Amino acid sequence: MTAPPPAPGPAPRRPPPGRGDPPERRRLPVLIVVGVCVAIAAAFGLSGTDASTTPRAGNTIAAAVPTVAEPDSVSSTWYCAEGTGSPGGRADEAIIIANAGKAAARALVTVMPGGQDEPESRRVSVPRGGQVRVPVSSVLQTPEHPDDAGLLVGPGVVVEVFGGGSLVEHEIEGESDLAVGPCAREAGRDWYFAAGTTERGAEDNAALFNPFPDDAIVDLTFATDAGFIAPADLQALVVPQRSRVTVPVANFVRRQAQVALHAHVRTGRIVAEQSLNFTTENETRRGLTLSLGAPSPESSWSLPGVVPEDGASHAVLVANFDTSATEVEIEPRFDEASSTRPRPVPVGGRSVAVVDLASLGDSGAPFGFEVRTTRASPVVVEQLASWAPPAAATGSATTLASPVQSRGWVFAAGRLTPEGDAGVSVLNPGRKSATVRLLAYASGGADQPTSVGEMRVPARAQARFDLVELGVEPDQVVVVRADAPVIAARRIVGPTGASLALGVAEPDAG
Amino acid sequence: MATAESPGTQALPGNGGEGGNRDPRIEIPTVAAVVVTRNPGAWLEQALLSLGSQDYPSLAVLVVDAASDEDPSDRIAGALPEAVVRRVPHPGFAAAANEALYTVRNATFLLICHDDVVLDPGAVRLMLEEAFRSNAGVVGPKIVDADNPEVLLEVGRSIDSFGNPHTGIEPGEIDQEQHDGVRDVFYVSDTAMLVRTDLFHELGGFDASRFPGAEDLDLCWRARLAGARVLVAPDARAQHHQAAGDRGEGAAPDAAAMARNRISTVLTLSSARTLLWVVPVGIAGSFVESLLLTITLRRGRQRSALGAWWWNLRRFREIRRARRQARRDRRIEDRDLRQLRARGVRLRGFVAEHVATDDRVRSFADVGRSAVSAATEKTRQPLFALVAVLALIWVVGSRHLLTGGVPAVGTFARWPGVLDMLSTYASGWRYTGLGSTTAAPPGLVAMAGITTTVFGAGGLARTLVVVLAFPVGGYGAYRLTRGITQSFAPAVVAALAYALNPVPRNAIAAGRLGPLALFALGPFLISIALRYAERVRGAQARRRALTGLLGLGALLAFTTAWYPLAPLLLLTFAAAIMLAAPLVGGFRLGVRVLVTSVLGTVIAVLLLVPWSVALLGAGDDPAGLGFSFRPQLDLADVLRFHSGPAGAGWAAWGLAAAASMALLLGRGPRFTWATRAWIMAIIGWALVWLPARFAPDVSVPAPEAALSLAALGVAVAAGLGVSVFVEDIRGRRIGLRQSVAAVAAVGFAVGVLGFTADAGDGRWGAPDGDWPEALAFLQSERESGGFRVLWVGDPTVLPLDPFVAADGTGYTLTRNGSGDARELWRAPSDRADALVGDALELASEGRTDRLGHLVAPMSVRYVAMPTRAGPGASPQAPPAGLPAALAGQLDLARLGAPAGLTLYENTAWIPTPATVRLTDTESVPLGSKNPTGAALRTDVGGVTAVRGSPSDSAPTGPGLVLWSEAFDGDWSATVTGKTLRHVKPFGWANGFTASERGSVSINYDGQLRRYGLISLQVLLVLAFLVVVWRSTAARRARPDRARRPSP
Repeated sequence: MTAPPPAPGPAPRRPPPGRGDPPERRRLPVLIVVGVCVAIAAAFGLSGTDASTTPRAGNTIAAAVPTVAEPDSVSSTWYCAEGTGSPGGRADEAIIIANAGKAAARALVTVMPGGQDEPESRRVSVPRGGQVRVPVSSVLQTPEHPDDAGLLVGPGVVVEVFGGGSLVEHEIEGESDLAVGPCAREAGRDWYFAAGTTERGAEDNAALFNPFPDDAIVDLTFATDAGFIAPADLQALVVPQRSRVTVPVANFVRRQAQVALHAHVRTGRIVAEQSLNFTTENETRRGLTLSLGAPSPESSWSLPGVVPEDGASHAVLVANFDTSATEVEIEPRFDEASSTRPRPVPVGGRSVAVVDLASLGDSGAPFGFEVRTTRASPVVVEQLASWAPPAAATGSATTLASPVQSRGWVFAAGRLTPEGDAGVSVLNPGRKSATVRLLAYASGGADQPTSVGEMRVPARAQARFDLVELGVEPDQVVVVRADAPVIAARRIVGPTGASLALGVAEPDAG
Repeated sequence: MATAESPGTQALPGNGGEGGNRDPRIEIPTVAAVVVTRNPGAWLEQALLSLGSQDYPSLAVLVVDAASDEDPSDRIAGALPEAVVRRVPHPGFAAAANEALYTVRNATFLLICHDDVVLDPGAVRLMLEEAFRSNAGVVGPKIVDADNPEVLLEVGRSIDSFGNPHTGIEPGEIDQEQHDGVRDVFYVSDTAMLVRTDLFHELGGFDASRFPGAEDLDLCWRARLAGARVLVAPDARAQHHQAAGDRGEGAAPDAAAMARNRISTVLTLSSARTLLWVVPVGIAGSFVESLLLTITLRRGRQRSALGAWWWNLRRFREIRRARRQARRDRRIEDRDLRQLRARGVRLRGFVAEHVATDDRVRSFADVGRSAVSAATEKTRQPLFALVAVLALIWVVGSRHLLTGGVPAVGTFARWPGVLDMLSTYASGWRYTGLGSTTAAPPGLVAMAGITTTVFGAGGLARTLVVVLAFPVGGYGAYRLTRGITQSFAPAVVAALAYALNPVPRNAIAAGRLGPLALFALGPFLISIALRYAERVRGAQARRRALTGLLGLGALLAFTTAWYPLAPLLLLTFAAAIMLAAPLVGGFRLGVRVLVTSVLGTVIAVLLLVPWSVALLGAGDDPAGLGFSFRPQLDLADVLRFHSGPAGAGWAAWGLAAAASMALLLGRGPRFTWATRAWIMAIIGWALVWLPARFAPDVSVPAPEAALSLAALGVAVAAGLGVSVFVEDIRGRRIGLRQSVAAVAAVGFAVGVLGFTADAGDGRWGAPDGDWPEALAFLQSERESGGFRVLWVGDPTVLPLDPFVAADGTGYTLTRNGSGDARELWRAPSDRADALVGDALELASEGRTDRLGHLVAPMSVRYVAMPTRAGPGASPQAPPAGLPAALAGQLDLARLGAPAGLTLYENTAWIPTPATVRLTDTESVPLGSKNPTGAALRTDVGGVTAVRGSPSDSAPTGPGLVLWSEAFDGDWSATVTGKTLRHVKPFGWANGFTASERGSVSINYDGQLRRYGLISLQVLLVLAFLVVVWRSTAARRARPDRARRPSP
């Protein structure tokens, strides 16, 4: 039996578009489309990303120097490492909280005595545009004492300011001198100091403050005239939680004229400051200095405010922590633009070069200076100055130069006296002149600062505001504003001693 | 001879009748064979001839024609001239067989049989002898396959408590006399049954309403209840053609009707005590079965299990009447039949019918035989060998996952117990983040279901879900490509190309459960949507295809439960077809796919209510939907699917090369679909690369999700390449085309090499450990009070579903440990959750050094910053500034932790619940508008953890009881039965002022609302199932109008 033939059915339908055989000519458009897609993507892929990788200027500034708390900050924390908290101590400390924000601020000053003792806190209010001075001993009297390893255990201070626009400085007072400097905004894992010495009559103290609830482990190494030193006792040094340990450097590095310090934190984070106390045994200097460390070596540093005068000595110390030698160029910046030639200074590996600034300012005019490396290795630059009769005061001061520039710098005015010399110097490292204004809040606080002085600073020059002449009072908050990035530093030389300090930068103005 | 009792009866002629050769001195009983036929095939003559050749001398034959289209009388007369033919208008077997009640008057036994049964010559005699010997009322023969008489079909039958039949014989089981032996059985089928005529009359014959599917069961059961024995006599043998489906269009048995009739029989004949448990258990079991049927899309086998129960319950009165009648005739009790019943028949049947991959396969044993048979047959084929080798590599590559479990990285969180997951699902309060009233995700139910199937082994269930993604996804690609090409080899190659793709390996390495689920189920979704869209032309076709749409919706709901962005896959596929339309046509198809996708999405949304509604309202929190990642992938990475450890090198390029052949050389539909597949791939790639290139600061879904689409496009194109080779190239002269084909083949081989290389570590790049294991000590910390762990860092390495801040920093909160699957699919962020992000932002930007204080009211005790998904995983840099920010916090103490994890303890931590001393309650800000500031400025003094369960704590107070869940009016607390005043500490949390000491009971009062929503969801699912059942039934019934049921 055979199968019946299939019944006649409707004619096969024409395939619907896209399902039937497309003409061969359709292949080319498809290949073109696919190819173009890939080509465009490849072109964009090879052209790199549009996202800017350049860090914000504010971030760069904040990474290098203490900055004023942002106006919208909920709170800002400041860490003040060096200082003692009992009357008659080697460096009696007071905290100065200044408020350049838009509203009154509240602050919590916490003194961490270390050891088994509990921290003590004190709340203070800071009026808008005003400043408050809090002696550490008024919060907690805690004498500094040596531990078994010969280190000094003393108080560290944490200042939390609730509200934006604040800054915190601290001053330490020795027998005959006063040193002032900004506290740190951030703890870090590396701190560098260039201007240290363990020569006769010099007490070099490195304060290591760990404000956190877990211990930090730190390695301290030194670049000296005699080469690189890493004392065994200062390796894996434990800085206990919520305590400050001060290392008397002279106990570990004997009799070195130049001692640059690097504190590297293996575990945790710390704040490091250094003070130098030149006693009567010192042949050339007297007084007390205070500096906050640099978080990293840089290739360019600037500092204004060198005032040549009788009895004063100014030196710039350039520390190279790298194993390979480098070279820097030092160039003075005077009030008027001048065409000086930079002076090359070789700096050996892991060593410190000292340059007497008097040799740069032969004219006797005030000046600032810039230091730039000409090779790959970055450096740390710090100024060490001292005054002795016939100068207006006796004392010493150190301050790091600034690796960054900002359009705004803020200071607490400090201990100004009519008979002293106090000024804020501004260096314009740019290629165009800058207009710089000095603003000051009214004594006791005010809503807005008023301009107390304005001047034009030529390119690659510096200028100086005399605070006494301008009538600035000690309790006023002073602000430097410029229309171009500048560096501002304060210099006070008077009956209470001498101090040098960079301002606290305004990152948003950068 | 029997005499007629009624006017309508007649004496049947028989071999032993007058004129026959029987010995007049021996009175032997007459047997009347009742053969029911309808539209018979050639088997009818064989059946009649076998009756004619019986060695039993007194056998008469009555052929009842049940309304055949053509009168078979001539054929019957030709085969067996002695047979009497009756034609009846009844279409059903039972009604036709009942003709014997009126036609036969002189027979002692009736032999009722189908028209496709061939009896051995001694069968009738042997059955009759056994009937007399055992005094049986009903006797059945051994039935074997007529086409292969060695294969057994049945030797008596049994049922379980729900009426499901059971033969005790495995499919294809060879008759080796292993079942021979006369025995009582529950029933014998009407394929061939010898029944005493008086019994048949007493029972009133078959109950015609039980046809199809249960008329024989009903008859034998009633015979049993009436006290008659039902036996099988295996010495008597019958060969069955099983020709029920060969009688013309629509002749196949109606499975739904059979299920209905079986349940009707159970409801009618079971005792009341039995029904007390059979009904609820049967309904529940059918509900689960229906769900599984819906999920597995076995529409062809869908029996509308739940519908059968529903159909019978609607006929409650009829059932009750029938039960009364049965009770009157009952002489023995149900328990006397218990030994004859089988257990677990339905489960075995379901597994056999729905888990097996081949429609013919009915049991696991048969699967095994089929596999062995197929292997034997196809081993020589290279394709099969390749599949086998890759399957082996897959097993080798998964060995550590299979033996050691999947590490709990990303969203591969550990699965807790079934009850834990279900109670989390039923809870009115969602314990993710800082808490929420948002509905819990149905994914928890899915997890619980899968865990149940492996007897509660959550780890095994999780491992299987992860590891099986490869073959499941591959099978999906196979189905999709098979539907496109209608060919086997291209579909297999597409399946392999899909499974070889680095996408699932990278998803496993990074712990991305959702994208992995999308990889596995996405091809099925696309396949169903495409099939539905291709069928839907015209209203009638739309109605017919409704079931497909419902299946799509169900599967989409299931997939969405795992990955909320799953519907986008379908929409993107529709977009791909439409974008390809200007080049190759098919715009209407694209529109239909789009409409299908939208409709499927709507169904899925409805099935997932209320969770889906909550997700739809999560516009302010795209991270809650999966937009959490900012992959830094360049173009080459994207094209190579190199979003993780897999995909590096040339392997993935090979797959692209294999996929290019169809585009370069294909013709006709192959070229059309190759174009569409490539557009799919391009869209998938573009969805990953464009944001990475042009908007790197915008969070997007995990790259593996979109790359799954690209992988599927590449795989389909690769499969089409095989089709192109077979159709367009093979047989032509050696030339450029063959070179392209060779390149494609090499490309595929390179892809295989890449897959093989990644199999080396045995875990597809997944870490060899996980943070929950490393932080196991957290489990014991609960004794100090309830706490949270704040995980912060790059979202790609964070566990669970992170929140994402504007700067891309991710954070996750886990409770009392490292978290588990109950915290997956977190609730969308609300105001309280945002406070954590605010705190982190302040810390990251250096605007606070008191992060611990800010998160202390949230009971954050630990802050963990992973830089790897797990120990040993690839490192991932944390967001810039975050490590320094955390290290700079004054109240975070760093703890020791394994490499890749930075762990801090919050020294300002406040447990939950905790009691603030009465004297210090003034220090807690209430109802603050600025919660962050409030937390920062507040130094809560004396706080003690509340011990014990929050709902029944140890005595505490007096003071302010802090409960760090997001404030909600439905939280309440009582002490010794007194309701405490509810306040809002820190502006977001819950607090209760206790004026006296006592045991605190903190409760959430919105639980009833949650139960109501769950009920709504159940109703929606039930409504969906009813619609599915009605749709399926209507589709089957429509062609049935033109036909009558076959015997």
